[in-house]
Amino acid sequence: MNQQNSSSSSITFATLSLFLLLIVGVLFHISSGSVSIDLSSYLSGLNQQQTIVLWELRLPRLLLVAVVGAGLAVAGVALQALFRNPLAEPGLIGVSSSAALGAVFMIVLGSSFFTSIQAWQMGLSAFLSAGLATLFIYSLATRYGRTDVALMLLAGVAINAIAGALTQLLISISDDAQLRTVTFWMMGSFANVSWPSVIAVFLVTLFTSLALWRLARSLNAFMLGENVCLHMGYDAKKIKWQVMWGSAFMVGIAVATVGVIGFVGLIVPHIIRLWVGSDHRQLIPLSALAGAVLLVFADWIAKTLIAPSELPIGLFMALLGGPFFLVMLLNQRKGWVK
Amino acid sequence: MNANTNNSAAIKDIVCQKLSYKVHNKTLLMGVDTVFNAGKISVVLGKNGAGKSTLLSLLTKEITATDGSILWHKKPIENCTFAELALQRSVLPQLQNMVFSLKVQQLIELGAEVQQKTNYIDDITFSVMQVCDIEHLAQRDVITLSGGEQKRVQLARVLAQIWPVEAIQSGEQNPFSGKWLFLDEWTTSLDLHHQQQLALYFKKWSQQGLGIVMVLHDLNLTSQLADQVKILKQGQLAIEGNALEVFTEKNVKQTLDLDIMIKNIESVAQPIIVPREVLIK
Repeated sequence: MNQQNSSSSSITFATLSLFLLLIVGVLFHISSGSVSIDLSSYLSGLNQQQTIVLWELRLPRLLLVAVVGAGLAVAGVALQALFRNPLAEPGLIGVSSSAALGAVFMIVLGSSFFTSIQAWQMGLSAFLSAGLATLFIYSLATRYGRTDVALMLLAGVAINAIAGALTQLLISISDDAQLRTVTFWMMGSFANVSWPSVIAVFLVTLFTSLALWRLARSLNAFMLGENVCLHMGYDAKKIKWQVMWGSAFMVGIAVATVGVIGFVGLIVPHIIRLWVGSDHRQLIPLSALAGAVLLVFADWIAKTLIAPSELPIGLFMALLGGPFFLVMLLNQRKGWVK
Repeated sequence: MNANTNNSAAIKDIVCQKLSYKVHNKTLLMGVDTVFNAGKISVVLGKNGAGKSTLLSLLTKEITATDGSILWHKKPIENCTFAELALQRSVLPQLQNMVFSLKVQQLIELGAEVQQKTNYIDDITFSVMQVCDIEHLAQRDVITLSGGEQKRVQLARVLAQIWPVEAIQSGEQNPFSGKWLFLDEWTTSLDLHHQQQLALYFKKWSQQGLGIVMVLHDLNLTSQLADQVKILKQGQLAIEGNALEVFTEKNVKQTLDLDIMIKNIESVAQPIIVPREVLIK
């Protein structure tokens, strides 16, 4: 009983501290940039330039950063339950790069099917190819409900290579305008955002995350094994499909909007699991919150570190996440010895 | 052979009719006709690859028969939903490795939650932890436990799923009536003390209505526990009956390919089965 109280109080503590961190991050994020807007000017009223900067640049970017962070973290949690392994991450297993391929495909070749390429077409194309990549890796690496981790990571390497090569191929046949669009978001940048795309990503992430959260109980069972999931009364096959396409939806739409940002889905769930445990009822909302915190801070650093120019956030996350991944691998190796 | 005269129990039997399962033209199970009686312990024996696990997977609806049928409490099993079955039967798989860290108590609660009786989760968890002798492990991370401890923890989770907490508390005579437990080699990595302790519990619960289907390799444990023994050979039901009928030197040689001697020892209830090779040596 006592222990249960302590675990629920650690959840409360985690929630509160993450909220606090998010508020701090938001304040830092929103007050940084070339035009200075300090606290007093909020109180005394913003001038016209400040208003435009705040509403057209900073707020949409802030919201997008937070939402993409949350979505990528939840997608990571979902994929890890599906593959029953903490190393399953959209970037590592090639889901993100496939989404990128889908988006580039639409930028470069879409004009031959459609008169003009809209954001939703890029998103749809990214979502479909992300979903197909997940399906492919799952059917390759998972047999009889058990995932071969090495095979999963190696398949990820192969898919990353193939998707990367095809993307390069598409780029090499693109014209100047297309090339600019492509390189622009391939770096994973939040520098240019618009309200409609922010709202679209927000809605997709919100509804998909809620849908996955509703599956929390069955994800808990799935984590114990696909057969156990069946034994405990859940339709494992259906859950598998929902998780696969749900995570692909969030990754696809995020990648189509801001490009590939790796390691969020690796770092965040890992830390939250250590903190509050592996129950998906808490893991999913807290990971969403922590994902938002991580990316808000990361983007703040990315845009201030070498100001006035900006570090692409995808690059920054790779610098942060690469070493983290290596440490996790080392920990898994320790597990083998035991 | 399986004449169960008690009609109310017979309704809760599991009946296999001409049950067959094929994958890629390979027949894993062929034409199995048998009945698993409610409130009895049925032990399924057979050499490796004889079809034991296939039979268990069919009975738990993990896979669907390619031919023949299973009647679950008189109802075709394909008409039972997973949610419905989960309230009536629970399954301990042969192998289980945990990847994510989870406290023992949390894991067992996942089992208990299947019953969707929020008020009873603590009671259920407490009872099954006591039965499996793991109360002292409640706050440990499952990954850090030894093989035998993990087995007991998993068994506790499985029991929690069907633990008839209300029926026990209201003092019903057969609280486990209508419930089923499927155990695939539950003795693996368990020490003999806990094997015997749990064996006694299984006996007790089966007398209180629990139907148990277990796959085992230990013939002596089988004759100690089983009400019905079913031996599979090459995907077919070779022989069934009670342990005394089934375990003859000839039967065991034919179905399990094992030379045995059967010894009666004073003050031991059932005859002891000893492999001959060991004696020669």
